[in-house]
Amino acid sequence: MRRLLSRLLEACGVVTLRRYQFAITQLEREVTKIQASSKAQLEQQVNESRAQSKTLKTEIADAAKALKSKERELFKQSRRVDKLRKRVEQSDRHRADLESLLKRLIEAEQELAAARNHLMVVEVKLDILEGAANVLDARTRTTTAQQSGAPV
Amino acid sequence: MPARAPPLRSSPVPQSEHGVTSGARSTAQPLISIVLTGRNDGYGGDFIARFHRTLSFNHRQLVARQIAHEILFVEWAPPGNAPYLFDLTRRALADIDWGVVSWYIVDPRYHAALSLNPRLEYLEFLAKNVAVRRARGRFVLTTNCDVYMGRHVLDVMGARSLRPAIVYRAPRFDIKFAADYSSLDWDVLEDPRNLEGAPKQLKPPFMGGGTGDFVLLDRPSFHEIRGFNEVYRAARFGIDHNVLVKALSSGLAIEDIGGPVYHINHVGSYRLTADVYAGREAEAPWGDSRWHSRGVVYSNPDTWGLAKAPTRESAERCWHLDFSWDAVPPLVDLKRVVLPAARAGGPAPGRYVSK
Repeated sequence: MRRLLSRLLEACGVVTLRRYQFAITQLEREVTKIQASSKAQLEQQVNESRAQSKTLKTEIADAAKALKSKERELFKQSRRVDKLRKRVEQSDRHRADLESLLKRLIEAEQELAAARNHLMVVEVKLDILEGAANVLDARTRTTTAQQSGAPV
Repeated sequence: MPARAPPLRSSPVPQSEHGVTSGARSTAQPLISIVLTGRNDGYGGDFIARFHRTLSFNHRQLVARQIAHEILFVEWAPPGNAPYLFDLTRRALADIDWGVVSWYIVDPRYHAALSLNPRLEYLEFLAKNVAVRRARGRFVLTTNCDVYMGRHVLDVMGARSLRPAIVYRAPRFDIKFAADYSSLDWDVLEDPRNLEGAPKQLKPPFMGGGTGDFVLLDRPSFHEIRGFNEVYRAARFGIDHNVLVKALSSGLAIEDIGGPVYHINHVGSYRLTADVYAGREAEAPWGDSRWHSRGVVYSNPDTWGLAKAPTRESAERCWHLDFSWDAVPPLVDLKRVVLPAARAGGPAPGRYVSK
């Protein structure tokens, strides 16, 4: 009877004091538990954030260092580029000079070949003239000797 | 030496339309005109025996292959104290068909009038021009009296595969001097053990080397270039190569015919005696070998080949070219020495070689 009455009261939202106190105690215990748990989580998150922050700071420092190094490298390379550009310009000038020299050399070779060709012709003609002079000299001597009666 | 027999006949022979007498009897045009020159002067020790052996051999081979040919022989400036080579040959080679032979005896005064070098004993290429000018064949082969045609050369002629506007050249294989060649046949010629040195190969573009032993060209082209150089008459050496320079300069091609001709070394061969005149080249009987035969060319006068020489028939198949100043070109005609023309894709026209 008592149990039945108790269930009817429970159905109407009325509990015994003992149960009410037990429930309150349970509630407080859970709240405490939840609060403890949240605090640990928050602490862990804070710690993680700190660690991440530290890592990021290190990375930023490294990046800054690298940036400085790259800037120095860029400076060096730009100086090299300038030097190379100057050398390329010099080379271009030299190439133009060489091309000009080569052209002059080819022309000189052609002129030399032409001169040699003409020299060949002149030498052959001189051979002919020399031969003719010798032949005419011999004929003249023979004729003169025959006319004068002297031995040929 | 026995006294020279007088000419058998002495009758003027009518001149052809070119002013040149052709000794040909037959009207049929031969395929090949073979041009030879020599005289009875004992050249090389036993010239006559070597010549007769060679002529018999070549004629026999040509007949065997039914190659229509004529033989034009120029007996250049024969010595006065010896019988004509014509008479000796006519007697010795009775087996040859003399109907295909035309023999020209050139008055010695031509040599004296033409030579620009008293040391020159023989104006070989002027002599050859006499025959080239009078040849009737479709092709003209200028060669020498001791050169045997090779089997391949004969085969090409026999196949009638020669083409115009091409100078055909053949390498010369020298046969050892010491061997006994009284009974010469293919076995002797083609035996590599009889060769003097390694077989020669002709090198383009000129295909030179022993050129005087084999120059084969169609007659119109040979006449167009007017034969061998008659302007430079101070040397015999190099005139043969000079015709190759002239040919290329004139737009003709030069080809190796593909097989050799054979030459038997003898006393006085240029090959054996060239070194004798080292350092005194100008004294050589073939002239100074250093003249610019590879660098200049010539333009022979219209009268090349002694075209205006009076000709009389002194015997059957034998004509004398009597002396006349009309036939002699000027002693000096410098405008006829010219530079060869450079042709596109062709070799350089000349190369200067200092003396």
